[in-house]
Amino acid sequence: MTRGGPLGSSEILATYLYKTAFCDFRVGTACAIGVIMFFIMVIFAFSYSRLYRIEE
Amino acid sequence: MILRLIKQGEITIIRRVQNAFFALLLSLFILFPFYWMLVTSVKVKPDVFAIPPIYFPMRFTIKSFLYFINQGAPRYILNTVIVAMGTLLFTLSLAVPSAYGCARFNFPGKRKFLSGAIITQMFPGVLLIVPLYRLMKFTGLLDSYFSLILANTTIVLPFSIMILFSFFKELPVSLEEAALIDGCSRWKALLHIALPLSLPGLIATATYIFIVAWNEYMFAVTFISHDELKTLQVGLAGLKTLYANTWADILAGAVIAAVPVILLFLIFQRFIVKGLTAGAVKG
Repeated sequence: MTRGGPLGSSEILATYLYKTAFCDFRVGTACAIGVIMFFIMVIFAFSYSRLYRIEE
Repeated sequence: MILRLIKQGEITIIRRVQNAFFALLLSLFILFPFYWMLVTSVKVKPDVFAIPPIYFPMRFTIKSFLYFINQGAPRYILNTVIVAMGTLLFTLSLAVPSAYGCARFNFPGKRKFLSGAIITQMFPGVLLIVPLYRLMKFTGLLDSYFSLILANTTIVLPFSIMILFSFFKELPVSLEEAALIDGCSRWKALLHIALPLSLPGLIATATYIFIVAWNEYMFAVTFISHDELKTLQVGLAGLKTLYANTWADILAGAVIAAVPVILLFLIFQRFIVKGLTAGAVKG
């Protein structure tokens, strides 16, 4: 909606990753962002799977 | 006694009015963009940016639709249908055996596999885009339908397995056991007994897959650069230009893109809600 502007103040990780990879072509940086995102998500994912056990 | 009844009746009436009011307010928020899309797509150009905004236009035109069709919309629609149907077939052919296997057999790591299916769908698709791009480039799949089908499949597969798993789990095992005793193979038992009985689940999953694949934008815009392979969503985004007033054309394209999805959802709504709640309760 705001394209991350003004000056990146409303940027979110997902769009930042995409822009870094495919507009700036800094693929390494983009992967680093991806790894950071991944670890943030891992925290939520594991707490979720702890709370929500699969019934056998 | 009567007084109390009246009072209770009054309370329920008030409640109902309240509920209706909030439901109306909420649906207004959701429905207005759709109404605006529909109405703008048939407006004449000067009316699109008129101030004050024209909520109920008097002049109608289908020029915007014709423009988008001239810009190659039929080709885009064909591409999107190919990709969506490919994703549908590919995902179902993988998800059905895998969900059935999880529902009927015990094997080491089954719980891990299923919780993996839940967890992997929490990760946003953007995370995978750089590695997937590398992979597509490495395998030479870039700029092909199959790259999109493959990428979409990785996104929808876990959730499809979860929905189908809960449906297969609900089926009575004894039916298939009877078939097995009568000399059916496992595959036949799956195809002739388990699948027809879980048809609602299958339809719900198929609708979910189709809608996700139809709406997919990010992979399509990244993997495809040939114009004749672009999907509808990418073609739609391509209509946006810097200087011209193209909002009517864009929204006409949006109507074309939205209608199949809305129709599908309305037709199969019953199954979808059932499929999702079955997944939620049984897990």
